[in-house]
Amino acid sequence: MPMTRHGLEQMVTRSEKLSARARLSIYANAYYARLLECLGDSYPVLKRTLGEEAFNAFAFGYLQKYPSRSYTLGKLGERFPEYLAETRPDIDKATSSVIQGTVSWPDFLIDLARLERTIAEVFDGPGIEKTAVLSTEQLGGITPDKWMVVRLRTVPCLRLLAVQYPLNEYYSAVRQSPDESTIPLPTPAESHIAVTRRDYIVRRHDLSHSQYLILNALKEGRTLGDSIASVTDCCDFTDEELESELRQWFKNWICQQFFDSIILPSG
Amino acid sequence: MLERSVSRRNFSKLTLAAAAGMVAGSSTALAAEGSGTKKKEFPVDPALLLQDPNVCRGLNSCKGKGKGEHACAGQGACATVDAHSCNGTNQCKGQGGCGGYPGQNSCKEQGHCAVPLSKDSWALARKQFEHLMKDLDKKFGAASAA
Repeated sequence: MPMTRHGLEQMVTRSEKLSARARLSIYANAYYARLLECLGDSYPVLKRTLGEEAFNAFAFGYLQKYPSRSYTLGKLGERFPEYLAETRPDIDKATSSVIQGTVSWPDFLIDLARLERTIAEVFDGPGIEKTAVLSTEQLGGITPDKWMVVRLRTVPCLRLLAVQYPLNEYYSAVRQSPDESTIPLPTPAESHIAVTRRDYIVRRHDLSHSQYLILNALKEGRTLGDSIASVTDCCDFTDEELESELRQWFKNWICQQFFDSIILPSG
Repeated sequence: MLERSVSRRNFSKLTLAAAAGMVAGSSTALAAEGSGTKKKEFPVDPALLLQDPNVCRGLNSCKGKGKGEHACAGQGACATVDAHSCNGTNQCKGQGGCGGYPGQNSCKEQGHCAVPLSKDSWALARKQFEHLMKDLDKKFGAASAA
């Protein structure tokens, strides 16, 4: 039940200059300022890209629409990319769909927010530091006729992103540069990123479109054969080239600990 | 998009290539673990991509530094480093193939694929080359066709 102004005056002592309500507002404002600060810490590259004033304007609107509901501030920014997508200026309010056009500034901001949120989730989420990953013994137990139908289970911290700008390079450039420096914005280019965690460090890997398609298919639980089939019709490699690439890609992915087990079909 | 029909036999070869890669990766990881020292995965220096000799067509940093006839940077016809067929056999820093950082390995024998580069690695290298050249305000031309 909301407290009346009179009730508030009874509960909180007023000072010489401030009413109980004004005194309480100091704490309310400080709480809000703390939330804005936390959101900025969760999206450091987006904040630097937008500048503090513009970022806080977005953040303020977000906190109005999606107020903090969790005991942990780790979840405070979980819907920020969604909010940016909902409030983009080129959205058709009647249909809630984006007015078709070229890839533009709102796409960049939304993709950057998605990347930063993914990094935060991978950092906070389950990892493989204390669990086994795919071993030589498991691989050695597969007979050649079974490889097409095995499934590779990806580690829980592996996340794949398809974005419309070369964000991985941009993200690194911003993180590695001094705060006051300005990093030029990249031009749009389809880009794919794998985000994972090893030894408690979040790692980002650039992927080609073909690599993304295969990993995505494996992550969805498709067989190794089906996953490779997802690129045979759309990449312009000859069979020999693709064979060589696949050997190298899977070698790298095992070294990068992208999989934790191999599943044989039952029966 | 190139429509291709992959025969069952070739498709089986592709799957086995992936399997061979996994086994090789697993052995590499095991060896690194056994040695007690964690190998640095990609010892790279992006600046090496702008140094010559280079690892593939369209990656020469100036006129006269690429192979074949070319008018300016980014128009060389092929690699000017020695070709090699597999990872870890590059002779010098900046001469390795793929691994996400083509032409940027900072040590001998730490490249991750063959030179000249594969199509995917070339596309990645060219993208990184253009990005670096733009950052330095250097002019470069369109790459020649493969």
